[in-house]
Amino acid sequence: MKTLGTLVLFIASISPLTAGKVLEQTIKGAPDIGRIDVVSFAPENVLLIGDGQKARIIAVKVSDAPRSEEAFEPIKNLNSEIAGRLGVPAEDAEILDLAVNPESGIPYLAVRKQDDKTYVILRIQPNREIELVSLSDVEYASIPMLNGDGAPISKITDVVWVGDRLVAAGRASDAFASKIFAVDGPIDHDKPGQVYSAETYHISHRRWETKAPMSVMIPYQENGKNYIVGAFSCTPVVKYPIDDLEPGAKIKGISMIELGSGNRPIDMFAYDAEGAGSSILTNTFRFHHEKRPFGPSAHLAFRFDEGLLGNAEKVNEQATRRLDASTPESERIEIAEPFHGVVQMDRLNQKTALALREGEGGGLDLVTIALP
Amino acid sequence: MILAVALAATLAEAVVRFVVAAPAKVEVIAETGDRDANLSIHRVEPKTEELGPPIFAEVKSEANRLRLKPRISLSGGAEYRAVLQLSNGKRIEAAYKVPRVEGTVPQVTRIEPGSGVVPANLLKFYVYFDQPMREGRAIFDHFHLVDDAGMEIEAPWRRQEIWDHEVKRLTLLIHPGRIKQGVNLREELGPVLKPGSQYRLVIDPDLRSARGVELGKLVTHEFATGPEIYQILDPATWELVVPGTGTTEPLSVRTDRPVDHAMAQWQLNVLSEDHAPIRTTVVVNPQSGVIELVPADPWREADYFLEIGEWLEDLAGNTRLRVFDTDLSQPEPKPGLSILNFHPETRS
Repeated sequence: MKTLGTLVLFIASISPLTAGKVLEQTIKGAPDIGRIDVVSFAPENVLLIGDGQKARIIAVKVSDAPRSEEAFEPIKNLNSEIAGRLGVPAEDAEILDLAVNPESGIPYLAVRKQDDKTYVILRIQPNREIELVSLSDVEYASIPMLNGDGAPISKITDVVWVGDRLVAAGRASDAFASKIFAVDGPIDHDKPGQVYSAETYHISHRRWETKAPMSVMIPYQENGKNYIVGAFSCTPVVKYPIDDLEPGAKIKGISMIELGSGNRPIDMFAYDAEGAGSSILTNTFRFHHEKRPFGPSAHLAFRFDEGLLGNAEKVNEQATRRLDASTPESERIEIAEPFHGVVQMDRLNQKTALALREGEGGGLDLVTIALP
Repeated sequence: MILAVALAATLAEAVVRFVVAAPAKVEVIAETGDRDANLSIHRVEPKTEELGPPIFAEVKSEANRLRLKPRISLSGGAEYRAVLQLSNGKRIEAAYKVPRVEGTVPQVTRIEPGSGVVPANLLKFYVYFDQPMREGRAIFDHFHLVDDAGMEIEAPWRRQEIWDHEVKRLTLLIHPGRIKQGVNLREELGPVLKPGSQYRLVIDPDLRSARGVELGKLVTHEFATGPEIYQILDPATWELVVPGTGTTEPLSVRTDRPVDHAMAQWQLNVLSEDHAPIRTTVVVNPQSGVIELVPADPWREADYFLEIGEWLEDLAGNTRLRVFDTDLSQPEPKPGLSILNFHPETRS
């Protein structure tokens, strides 16, 4: 239990990934995947693939060796190496997303071969061996993300396992709209989930938003209740209660932190820093880096104390800001300098992140970085 | 010792050959009794002739034979080399060049909203191509907004790729943080568009199709800006020009301002008097903005309803429920009508 402020007591924690069985009714074969937008992991070696083209989440059982204590070897110019393994020049292979299997510590990559728009999943062993993950004969469940109110889903922006359910964020190609989908676990093949609209107080805009689609999200628990914590462009960090939702309900987000305008979040994860409590790290693309740089690269990361998410006295308009004008408002939010140039990342363990970082000549290096 | 020839290569100890089932689908067969031989396939870097790393492939061992099947389709125009490394140190290579599939030069077929006057708080452009295009994070670097002084507008786009399923239509969102009033991004950088000005949307000639063919020419789309719009869509102000009974004339809808043409396709629906959906084709006239709903079957002598969906936007993202730049701490405006009824005209 933590104490914050004078009267506010709360218990907050990132939802343990071990909670709740993930898969129930599955089928065996090759899932029909139109496009891979995002990848993520649920417990029990279940890879979650967000397919905006088919408006589906595909949950695939993968088989990894148990977690090894072997140190992860960095790989320079991983994008070039991957392109070579796909038989194309470096510019013709785009790494779309990275997710580490928490059971094994093995990173998985979603990659698009540009010339024929083939999507593949790769995994990288600690000894640098790059493997193509076969999806031709796997155990899986494919879940339709029904649009509910008619707005056709065209992109899944993130998918996450929260305690005992799967939660995904999506958007429509025409409508600039934020949608949240939830499917109770364990997952049955073809069992659709519920769709919810989300409404958020956007601190930077000092207004309520219904339309800004969530870019990233992670599971979060507070006082025994389940939330997702998400971030949007410009960059509010918001928590959404997801317990006891009625079908079609509007989920009202509570803005807790403002990281600053001009940033688009890419990835986010939580970890327990030894002796320093729990932290959350998010990397972003700073789209007005040239005018107002926060470091050497347009890609940078912010670390903040997880405890800020539970401060009931500082929400929405009073939310904690990283900067008050140009000076830090709180020491509990900081730029994580070792993460400058990181374009994709995930937690490898409680001490280390695995990241794709801008390297020489425009390449992307796979590196491990000690967590701040 | 290395021996490289087209399609097949022979040494005393072994033969390697490509078996071509289709231009990009091949197998490699290596005839060898060497059980420790290693067979792989590599792309040849055109400039240096160097071999890339081994391509993902499945290799099966049969009696005195290795059979390799790439797990990835090969790329048109690229050269590949099969390499058999024998345990005695000898190496044998066979080469195969995939025929180039000549793609046509991509064309921009349409840009919406079309040339004309748009609100200065315009939310998005739709750019249509005649073929699937190459996706990627750098796509936004190929699209520029230039003002009438020839100055490029800095960082206008929300850099999140939004394509249709065929990857032939790109939705370019102007960054909402620079549209909304009082937002720090707008205060720092200013609005992307200002009322009463002329602008050009410029597309670079090196934008490529999925097949890698460039546009080859600069594409320019001129438009002008009018006042910003901060009102909900109110269908009560729309004018319906009703069709004739027994005809398949369109129901014409004259809106008080242009609406998003793409959303009109699925957010305007005709219902029968018992609220059953009536099949229609929706056409938005790019010049007049008039929306025409053409029925699949002739109109009957009956009441019909035009249903206006909650997502339908004007060009500034306003819907009949909300102004795009909304403040929910203030009382919400009265929603616009969701249903308009009409009765086809009986003509003598």
